[in-house]
Amino acid sequence: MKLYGGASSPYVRKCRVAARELGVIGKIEEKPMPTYGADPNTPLAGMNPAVRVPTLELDNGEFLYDSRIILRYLNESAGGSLYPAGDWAMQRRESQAEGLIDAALLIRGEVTRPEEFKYQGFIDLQSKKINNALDALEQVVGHLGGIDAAAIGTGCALGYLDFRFADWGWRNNHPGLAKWFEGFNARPSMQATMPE
Amino acid sequence: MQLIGGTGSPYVRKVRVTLAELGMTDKVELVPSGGTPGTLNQETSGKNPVGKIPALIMEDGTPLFDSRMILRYLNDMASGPLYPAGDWAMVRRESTAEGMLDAALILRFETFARPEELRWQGWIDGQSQKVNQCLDALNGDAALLERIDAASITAGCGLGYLDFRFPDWGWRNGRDGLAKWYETFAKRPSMETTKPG
Repeated sequence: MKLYGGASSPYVRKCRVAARELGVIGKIEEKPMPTYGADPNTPLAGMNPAVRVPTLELDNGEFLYDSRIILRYLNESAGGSLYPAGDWAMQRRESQAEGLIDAALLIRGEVTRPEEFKYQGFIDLQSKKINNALDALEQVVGHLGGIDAAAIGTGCALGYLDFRFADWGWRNNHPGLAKWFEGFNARPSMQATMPE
Repeated sequence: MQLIGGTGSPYVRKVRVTLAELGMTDKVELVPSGGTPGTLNQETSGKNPVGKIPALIMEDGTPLFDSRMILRYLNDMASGPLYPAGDWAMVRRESTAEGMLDAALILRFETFARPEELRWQGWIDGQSQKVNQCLDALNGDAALLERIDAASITAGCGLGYLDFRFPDWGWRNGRDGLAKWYETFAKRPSMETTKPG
């Protein structure tokens, strides 16, 4: 299999971490691809019409996207335990982490716009979503103990905040999450996939 | 259960169509979120911290979001046919339709909610191209949309959204297969009773 996507994308990182946690990284060739796909001529367009990373090319030539689908696929093909059957509370935590990443990427997109088109109101709104998601994750941090889709999503979300928004100070009001992340971030799967 | 979300949202519509297709409409009360693009509704965001609709309040009082997860949950509950085991090609079509929907919503925000002087044509062009590429891919897969599953529901709601918010798009032009499929799909009771408004 081939995993397309750059090392700065938190969505790509989720897949890279999952592949390592599931022990299937040896079956995957990691192919860097520019992350922020405004370029309509990127080869990615031929693989994924929505032009997003990550995109996974299967051995039979089929393509899968987006990251949550790739996680499910890798988990199923490895017989993994990232999505315990019927555990909807875990999936809610996964959605909270995903919402955090979505909002952070929207801010990133906004601040990288041409100066004259930036909209502070939008940045404020997305910032509020990030803080709300952090508060919600802090409440459920006790459930992040295992390695599942929610833990991986949360770890990559927090890693992205540290990477792109180093001054956010998310640890200040979220001591439980900060402590959890300290442990999770030390895992080999996270250490091998640091954003750059 | 309660479904939080307005009737203008295609993501909410996906859930409503799913409920109808699974015969579960009467199990869920629709609670308007009152949300407008670019604002964070306080009541909704209390249930869903990232402030997205739809949110499904399950029987135990806890919320579930976003729409794709809600579809999986409802399908699981009803032992429905929306996610056939191991059918990754269907999931890819669902992602394509969802990608189209996401780009269309981004366009809606850009051309409606954002102050006019801050709109960026380059961004509009890029997202429009994504919509068109996803439409082309779905057109190529039109025959596979005949079955009622997560992909066909998402594609139907995506095309309905284009007709609702971008009536001049002309997405049918050059996409006969998709246009023909949608003409029939849009007549299903699940679609007729959930028209955006």
